[in-house]
Amino acid sequence: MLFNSLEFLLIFLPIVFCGYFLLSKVNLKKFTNLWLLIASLYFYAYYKIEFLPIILSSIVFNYIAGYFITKDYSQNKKKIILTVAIVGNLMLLCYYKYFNFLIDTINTFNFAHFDTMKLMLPLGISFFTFQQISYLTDAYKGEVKHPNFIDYSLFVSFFPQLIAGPICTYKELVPQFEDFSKKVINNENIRRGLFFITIGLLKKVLLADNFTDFIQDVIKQEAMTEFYTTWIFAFSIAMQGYFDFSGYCDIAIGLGSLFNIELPINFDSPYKSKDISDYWRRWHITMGRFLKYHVYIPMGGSRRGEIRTYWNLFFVFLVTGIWHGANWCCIFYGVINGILVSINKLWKKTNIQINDKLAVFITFMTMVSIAPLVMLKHIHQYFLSIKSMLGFHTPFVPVSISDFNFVFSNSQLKLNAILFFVSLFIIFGLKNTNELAPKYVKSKNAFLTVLLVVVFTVCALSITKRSEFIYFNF
Amino acid sequence: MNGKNNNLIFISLLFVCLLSVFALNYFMLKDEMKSEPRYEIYHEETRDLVFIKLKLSKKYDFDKFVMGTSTTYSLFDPSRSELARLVVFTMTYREFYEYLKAYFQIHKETKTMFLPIEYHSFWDTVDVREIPDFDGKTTLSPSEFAQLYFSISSTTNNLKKLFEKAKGYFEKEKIANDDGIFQIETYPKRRITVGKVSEQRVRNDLRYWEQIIDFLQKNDINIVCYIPPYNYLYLQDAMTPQNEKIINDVKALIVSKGVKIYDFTKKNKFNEEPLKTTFMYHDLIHPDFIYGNIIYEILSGQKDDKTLYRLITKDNFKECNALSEKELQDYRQKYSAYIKEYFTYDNKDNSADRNYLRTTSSRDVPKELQKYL
Repeated sequence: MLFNSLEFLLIFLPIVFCGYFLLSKVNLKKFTNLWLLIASLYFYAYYKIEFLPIILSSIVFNYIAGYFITKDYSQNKKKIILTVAIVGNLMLLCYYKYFNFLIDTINTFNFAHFDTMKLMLPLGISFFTFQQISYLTDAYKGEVKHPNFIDYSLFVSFFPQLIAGPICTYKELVPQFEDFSKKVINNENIRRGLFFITIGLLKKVLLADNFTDFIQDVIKQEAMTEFYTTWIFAFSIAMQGYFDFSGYCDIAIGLGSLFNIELPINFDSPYKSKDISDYWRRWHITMGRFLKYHVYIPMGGSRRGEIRTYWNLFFVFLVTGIWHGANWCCIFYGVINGILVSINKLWKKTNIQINDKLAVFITFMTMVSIAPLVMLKHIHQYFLSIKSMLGFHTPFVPVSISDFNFVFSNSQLKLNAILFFVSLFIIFGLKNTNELAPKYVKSKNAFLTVLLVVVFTVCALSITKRSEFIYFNF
Repeated sequence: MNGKNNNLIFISLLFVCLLSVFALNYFMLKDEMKSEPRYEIYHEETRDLVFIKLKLSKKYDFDKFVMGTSTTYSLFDPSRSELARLVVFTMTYREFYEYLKAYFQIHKETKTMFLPIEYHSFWDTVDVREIPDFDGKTTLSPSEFAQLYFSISSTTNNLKKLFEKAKGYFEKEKIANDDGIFQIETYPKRRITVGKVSEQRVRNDLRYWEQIIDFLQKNDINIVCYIPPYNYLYLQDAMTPQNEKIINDVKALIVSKGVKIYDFTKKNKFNEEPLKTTFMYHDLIHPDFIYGNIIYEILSGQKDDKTLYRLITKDNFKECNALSEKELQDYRQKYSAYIKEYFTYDNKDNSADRNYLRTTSSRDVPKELQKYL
C-alpha cells in the first residue's frame, strides 16, 4: 500500500487508528502491538503478497539469531553467530538487489554468458535488513535484551517506517511499543501527526510528482542535448528527489505520531547545507548513522591515520552509491560523493572561510549537477547531460530571443521551470516541517486547521495515479 | 482552543469536504448520464476505468449511420443531418464493435449502417493499445471509484459545470448543449504506438468483423457495406500478396453472410489521377467530401454510376478479385515511371507531387462537380 493512496488515507489508516485506540480503551492494551503488527503485514502484503514470505522469513531468521546472541554464550561464539546472521542478511539483500547486475556485468565484459533472472526487488528489503543488522549488533554488544516475538516483528515491520525508513534502532522503537502509557489518545501528537502527514502529502503529490513526466520524457527521448532543457532536467531530478523523500519522511513521522510513536528525524533541509559533508548529515540521517556505526567505525573510522580515514570515507560513499541502485550510474554517484566529501575534508584543513550563502549555493549546485546519476541507467547519458549543461551542444548564452521562447513555448518545460522556482522558495525561504510542527501544535488558531484540511483535501483529490516513492526501490 | 477541539475540527471538516466532493461528482455524473448516455467499458488489464463517453445527442434522429477512421472522416460531410458520422482515428475493429453496440443502444431509430472496409486499418504501421475482451463488467474497483468521484479533475470540471448551470438558471437562459454530438472521449490509456500491426490483431479483426455483421443482422439493420476509394498510387504499393489475402478473407466473410459490397477501389478517372492535379483526394488514402457526396448518393440509392464502383456479391466474388488484381497490374505498368518518381522522392520542391497538405480548396473544381462541394 502506498501512503499517497486514497485506500491508505481514507480506509486503512482510519481503521488501524480506531482499532488501536479502541483496544486500548477496552483494556486490551496488550493486544495493541499485535493489532499494529497485523496491520503492518497487511500494509506490506497489499503491495505484493509474494513479498510477505520474504519479510517473514527474514524476521524469523533474525529473531532466532538474536535469541542466540543474547544468550550467555562465549564472546567468540556470539561473534560467529553474529557474522553468520549478518552474512545471511547481506546474501538475501545482494541476491535480490545485485544478482542481475553482476550477471549483466559479467556478460558485458564477455567473461562468460549467463541469463539474467526475473527477480523483483522486495519492497523495502534494504531497510528491514539494515534495521535487523542494527538490532543484531546491539544485541551482540549487550545493549538490548531479547524481545518477545510480536514486539520484535513490529519493530521490523511497523508500517510507517517499513518501506523506506527511517532505519530505527531497537532502543528507539521497542521501549515505545512496550510503554502502555503511550497507548492512549494524545491530542497533541494527533495534531502533530496530521500536520506532518498533510505537509508530506503536499510535497509528494503536488510537488515531487509533477516533475515526474518531464524527467521520464527527457530520459526516454535522450533529450539531454539542449542547454536549458538539461538544466531544467537536472533541477527537476534534484527537486523531485528532495520533495519525494522529504514528503515520505514527513508522512512516516506523522503516522508514528498518530500512534504516539516518535520516529527519528530523517531529513533536515539538506539543500541548506554549507558543504557536502553537512549535506549527507542532513539527507537520510538514519541511513548515514547506520553506515557510520556499521561500516565506517568498524573499518577504523578516523583512528587509523589520515590516508585510511579518507579511504574509509570514500568506501562508505561507494557503499552508499551501490545501495542507491544496481547500475554503474549509482556506483559513479557514490564515487563522486566519496571524492567530494574527501575534498571537503581537505578544504576544511585550510581554514579558508567563504560566505555562508555562497557555500550553500555551491553545495546546492554540486548536488544538482550530480543528481541525474540517480535517475539515469547509463553512464553515457550522464556525460551527455554534463556536456549540455556546460554548453557543449548548444550555446548557453541565448543567441536570440527564440532560445528563451523555446523554453517558454514548451508547456512542460514551463511548468517545470515554475515548479522549480516555487520549490526554491519552499526550500530556502521557509522553515522545514520539523521546525514548523511545534508552532502549529501550540497554535490555537482554527484558521490554520481549516487551511490544513483544504491542503489535505486538494492533495487527496490530486492522487490520480499510482506513484511510488523513489526510495521504495532502494 | 485546545488540541482536542482542533483535531475534531480537522477530522469533521475533512469528512465534510470529502463527502461534499463525492456528492458533487456523484450527482453531476448522474445528471450528465441522463442527458448524455455513456457507455462504460471496464479495462481489466490496467484496472483503469475505461470511460468511453459517446456523446450522441438524442435530439437528432438519424436515418443512417457510418463509422470509421480518418478515411470516413474525410469522406463524409458532417453537416448532413440524416447521417450520423462517428469517427475514431486509428480505430481497431475491436473498438469498432464496442462503439457500434453503444451507438445502437442509444439510437434505435437508425435503420441503415454504412459499413466501410478501410484497407489501411488492417496493416498501416500504426497500432493502438486495444481494449481487452469486454466481459460486461462495469463494477468499479476502489481506484476507479476514487478516480471518478475523488479526483481533482472531475471535481473542478463538475464545479465549472455546476456554475454554468447555476448561471443559466439565474439568467433564465437554457444553455445549449450541442457540443460534440459525435465526440468520443476514449479511455486515458488509449495510446497510438508506431509499429507493425500484429498478426494476432488481424485475426482479432476478422473475428470482430463476424460479430459486427451478426450484430447488425440480428438487430435488423440494413447493412450497406463499401470499400472507400483509395488512390491507386497507394493501392499498388499496399496490396502485397499478404495484405491482399487479409482483405480477401474479410470480403469473403462479408459476402458469405449475404451482404453486398460496393467496391469504390474500382479503377476510374478519380482513383488513378495523380495527386498533383486531383481535387478528389487530400492524400492517397483520404478522399474529399466531393467524392464522398457522390458516394453518399450511390450508397443511399439516390444515384447510380457503375463507372465508380463494382458490386461484389457471393457469386461474383472471385471474378471481382481477379478484376481488381488486373487493374492494379495495369496501373503498375502504365504508371511505372510515376511510381518510381514518387517513391524515390528526394525532398526537392520540384519532385513529383508528394504534397500531403494540398487540399481541394486550393484547386479548381470542374463545373460539373461543383454541386458536390
